[in-house]
Amino acid sequence: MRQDIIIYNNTELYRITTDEFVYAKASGNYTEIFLTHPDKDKGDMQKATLTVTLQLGKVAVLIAGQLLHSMSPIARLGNSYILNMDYVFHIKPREHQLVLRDWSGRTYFLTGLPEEPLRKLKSALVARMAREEEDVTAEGEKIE
Amino acid sequence: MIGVAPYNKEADAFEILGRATATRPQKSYYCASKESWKTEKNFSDEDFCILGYDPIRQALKAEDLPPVPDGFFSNLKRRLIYLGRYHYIPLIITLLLIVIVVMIYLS
Repeated sequence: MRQDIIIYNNTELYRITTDEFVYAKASGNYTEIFLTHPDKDKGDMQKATLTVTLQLGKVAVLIAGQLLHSMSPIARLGNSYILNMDYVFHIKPREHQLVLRDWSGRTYFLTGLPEEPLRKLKSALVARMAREEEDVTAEGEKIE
Repeated sequence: MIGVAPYNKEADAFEILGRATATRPQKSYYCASKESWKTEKNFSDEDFCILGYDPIRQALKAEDLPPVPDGFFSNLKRRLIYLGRYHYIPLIITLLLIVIVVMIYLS
C-alpha cells in the first residue's frame, strides 16, 4: 500500500511515497536517499538521489513513526541502510551482497553488508510471503 | 494498536511500545523484528527490523481477538509495567520519598 513519508529537519522537508523509496544509506551526518528512476520523459537523473542533513537513525525514527499503523515495506538493515523490501531482487548473505530492483527494472547493487541482517531480511521476506499466501487462502474460503 | 496485552506477553510489549512510540517518537521507534523494538543507541550493525507497524499483527482481525478485560488488577499490572519501563526515575523518587516519610513517622 502506497503511503507518504515526510522527512524533515530544521531547514527543509521532503515528501516522498513508500513506492518511490528504494533505499537510504548513511553518510556520516547525512543520509543519501535513493528514489526510483524518475519519469523517463524528464530524464533528470539528479532527482533520483536526495541528500538530507539528518543521520540515518533519525530518518529511521521519522519513518517508523509515520508507518506505525500500516503495513510497512520499509526496513532498517544494520547501521548503514534503510531499504524498501518490495524492491529486493537478490540476497546473498554469505557474499554480503544485496541487489534491489525498482519498478522500472533499474538495479541497485549494495555490497559489503553484514551477513546477519541479510539473513534476517531473507527470513522476513519468506515469512511475509507465507502470510500473504495464508491471507489469499482465507479470502478464497470466505468467497466459497 | 490492537489491545490484546493480557493474553500475550509479546503483544503486551507491542502495546506498551505503541504508546511509548506515539508519545515519544523521537526517542524510540517501532521495530517489528524478534527484538520487538530498539532505540538508536542499541541498534547494531547485526540488527534488522521492519520500521513501523508489524505486518503479523496487522494481519490479525479485530473481531478474532478476545476482548481486553478491564479489571482493576489486570490494568494495574500493565500500568506498573509501563511505569517501570518508561517512567522509572519518577517511580524510584516516589518510592524513596514514601520510605523517607515512613522512616520519619516511625522514628
